[in-house]
Amino acid sequence: MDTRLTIEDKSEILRYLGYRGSEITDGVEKRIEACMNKANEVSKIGYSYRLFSVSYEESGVVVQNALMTMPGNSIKKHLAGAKKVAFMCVTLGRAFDVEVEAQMIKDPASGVILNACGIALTEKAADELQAIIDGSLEGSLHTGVRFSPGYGDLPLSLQEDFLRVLNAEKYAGIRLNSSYLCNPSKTVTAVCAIID
Amino acid sequence: MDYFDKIHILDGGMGTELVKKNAPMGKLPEELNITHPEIVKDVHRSYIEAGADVIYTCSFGANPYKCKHSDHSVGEIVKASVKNAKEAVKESGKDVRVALSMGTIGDILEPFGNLKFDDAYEMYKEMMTAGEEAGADILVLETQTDLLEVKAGVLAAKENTKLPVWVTMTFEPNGRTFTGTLVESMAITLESLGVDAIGVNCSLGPKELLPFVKRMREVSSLPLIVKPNAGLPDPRTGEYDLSAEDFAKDMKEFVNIGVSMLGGCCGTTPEYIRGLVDITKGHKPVKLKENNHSYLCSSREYVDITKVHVVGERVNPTGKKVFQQALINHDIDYVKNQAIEQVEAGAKILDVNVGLPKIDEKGLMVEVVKELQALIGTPLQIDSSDPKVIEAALRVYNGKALVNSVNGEDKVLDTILPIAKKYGAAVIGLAMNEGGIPNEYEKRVAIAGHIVEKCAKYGIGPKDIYIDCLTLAASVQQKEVRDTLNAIRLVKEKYGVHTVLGVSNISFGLPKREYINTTFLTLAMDAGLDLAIINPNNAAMMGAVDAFLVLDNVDKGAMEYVDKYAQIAALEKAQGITNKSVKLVKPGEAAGNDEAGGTIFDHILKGLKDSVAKDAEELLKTKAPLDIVNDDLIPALDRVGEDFEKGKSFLPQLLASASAAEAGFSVIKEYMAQNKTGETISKGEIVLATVKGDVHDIGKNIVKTILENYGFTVIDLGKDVPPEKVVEVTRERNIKLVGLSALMTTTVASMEETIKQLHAAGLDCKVMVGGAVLTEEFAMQIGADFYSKDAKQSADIAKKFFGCEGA
Repeated sequence: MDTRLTIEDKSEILRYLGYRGSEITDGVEKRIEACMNKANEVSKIGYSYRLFSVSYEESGVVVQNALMTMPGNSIKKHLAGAKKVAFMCVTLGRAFDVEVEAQMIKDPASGVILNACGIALTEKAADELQAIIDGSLEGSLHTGVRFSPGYGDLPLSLQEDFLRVLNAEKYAGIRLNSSYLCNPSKTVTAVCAIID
Repeated sequence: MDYFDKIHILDGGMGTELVKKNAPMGKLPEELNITHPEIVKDVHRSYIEAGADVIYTCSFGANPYKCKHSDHSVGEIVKASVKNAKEAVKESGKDVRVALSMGTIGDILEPFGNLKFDDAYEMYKEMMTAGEEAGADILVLETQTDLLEVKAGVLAAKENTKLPVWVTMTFEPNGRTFTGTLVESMAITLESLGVDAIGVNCSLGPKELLPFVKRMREVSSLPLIVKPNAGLPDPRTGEYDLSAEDFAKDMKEFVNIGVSMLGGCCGTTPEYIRGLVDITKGHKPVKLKENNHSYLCSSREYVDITKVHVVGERVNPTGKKVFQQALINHDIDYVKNQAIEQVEAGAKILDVNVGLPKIDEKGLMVEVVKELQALIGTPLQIDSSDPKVIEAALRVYNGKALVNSVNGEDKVLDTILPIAKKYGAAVIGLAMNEGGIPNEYEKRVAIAGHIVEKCAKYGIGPKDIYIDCLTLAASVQQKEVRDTLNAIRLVKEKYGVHTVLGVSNISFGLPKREYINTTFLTLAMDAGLDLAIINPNNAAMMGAVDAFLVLDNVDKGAMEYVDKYAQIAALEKAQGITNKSVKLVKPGEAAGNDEAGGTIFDHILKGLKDSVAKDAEELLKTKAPLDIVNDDLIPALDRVGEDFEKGKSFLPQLLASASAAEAGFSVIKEYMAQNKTGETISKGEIVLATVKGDVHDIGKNIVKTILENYGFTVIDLGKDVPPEKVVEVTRERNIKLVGLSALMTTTVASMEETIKQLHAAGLDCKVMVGGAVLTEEFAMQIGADFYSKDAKQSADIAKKFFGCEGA
């Protein structure tokens, strides 16, 4: 997978930067362009996905053969009774985090822009991964909207199980810290309903 | 075990075999050693029957981090795993070794995560000592991705057990692990640490791993281990694509290049191992002669010292007021910036010295080494006169470092050389001793000879010795300049070592030092200098090195020279600069460039760094430094802040203007330091920290940039900062305003705890807090005094607090 930022992604990047329609100075324009190129250059996308059957119990959504239950109402509502789900994770890799840090030191304006580029690129890569998963599904089956630990009442601590069932360290080099934050930081983990 | 008498066959995948035998796979499969020992033994038996000479225990994830939810202790699981393997061996009656398998801990090492190097060490130690006690024959760190974590494991093995250590790492198709460790860096670092065998496992199939194993062989003479997957997996099913037959065919290549040990990883079964037995029959590993290249490396880059390289000298507080102040204020970003600048200017190695009176040199050195090696790939040269500082730095250094320095005194040699040897570092030897620096080159050469002899005694060969023949000021000892040059030539000839030299001392006391420096550097390079310790930001010195490489026929076809200087020449022409070199500007950096006309106020608004610096220099000719700050810089920043608040600009513009103002501040600070005006720009000291558990510090860094540019001194404690540390620094420095940042709801709790501890310590300070999940109300609830919704507001709070409103 080689997801890249293109000019169409600029508005999304500006949105992450809190842009509210003011005039953009020449210097910032140039930085945005340079950071988009930098983001494409230093990201090394890793990913993993797996499909599971689920059942709906009192305790939450039980993932079959995964030693995992997703507790709470939010996830139940989100999956809306789907029988199968796709777990996925995608990351830009450690080098991206290192580059953001270096930019923050050299030129903080570029640092925050590169960081925003990273968020946009991760989301775009997650979209592309969903397209890959969709392509592997039969007929008109496809994945629904992504839902991640930390959304609604789905606890963030479930990241541990997400990464375990995805074998995320092996396939994408993703590990968790003690606050359940992913490393590399530009990482998306999610579950999607598989729907027709 | 003789690694070269025959090709040793290792076992294959454990997980799939367990599943095949219907083992109930829980979250921690290693528990099967206790709950279902027969199944584990069955897998071992099948590999022994297939012909494995070494079997790996089922203990891959049996470390304290991964076992934290288990009912069994690490010791129990590890010992059971060794027992199962040994029993299977005993039943077979064959001569099979048992290797204790250890995968990654699973937590993330500092500074990327929270795991401390020493804690990683302890975790491996716990597994290893249990494994040795239970009778394991070998310790193997496998499927590793972080060379620094591996180093913790290797040190744990060497310091606590007598067992041989093997390491195999997992590389991606680009020849790096997920954390960026390069194939060559792994081999160089681990060979110098005294690991017994190295290699690759997992991630890819034999074909894909072959080039990496060849590259290891280029830089290392260690026995090699190859344990690939059965090809590449289908992401949907997890099935691997190579049959046992195809696997064996592809593995034959490794037999041909002479590796010592072959086995399989994910997707391989006893059938695959039988295939390996067949292809290795009648073949022997090839033992290489010791590689006599001189390498230095970080985990991400390596340097083969075959031509002259530049060692950046700027990370050193000696004689630099601003640098000294940065160290006192614990401004690690300043140090990082110095490092980045030098690397971009072409330094291939960076000297790191943080020695200052009344400073915890050891603690600071370790911190700086950890931070720099995470940020840049350039190998480091550890520079200290204190052996304890050197040892602490080498211990956490992620690569093969250069130690600066030893000299001809036995007392120094006998203290530092064993440390260098233990951690696999190369050493710089100064050609001087108790008697000082001899004037005559013959005597300096003799001292070098003594150093080389001592090194040999401690097992350090000439390839890892860099003799510094010492530069004396030409203004004082003109006659001895030639002695230095003669010594360089002679020590290389006589002892086969490399040479290193701090160059710029030569011009001490003379005007136009650059003329003297570049000429001396050129003479030294011609005499055979390998490492030139200089300021790489000096274009003339870098030019001398680049030009020498052309004239010495090293830079073939002057390719590198033309590539670099054609661009610079064009740029100079475009800018009408004739007598002075400009730095190569990269895309995006043009943003900070010059603009003719306009005032310093306009230039700050537009974020034009270079213009603001020039404006400040100009203004200093007619205006007092503090007046410039108050009349020009601060009002411009106020306007920038106002525009930001009104939505007339957004975050990157705010920061670009802040950086531009900072360029002005730097000029003024430098001026004040040099002219000892006795004044200070500081409007007050503020401690900033991202609280414990939180590693997102972009928000805090933005606040820091803004605060500094309003003239506040920021003591930046970094990210993941324990409450105790905040209390300690606040007390020690009598800080009145503390800023805390937290990004996640999960870490707001530690923000509250930090505030509590500050109050409990009875410190007379106020706390301002900020972060994505905070609100004014929430901030007050957890006991904060001020809530700051963005960086601009934090500056407003600070201004009000320190009574510089309207200043």
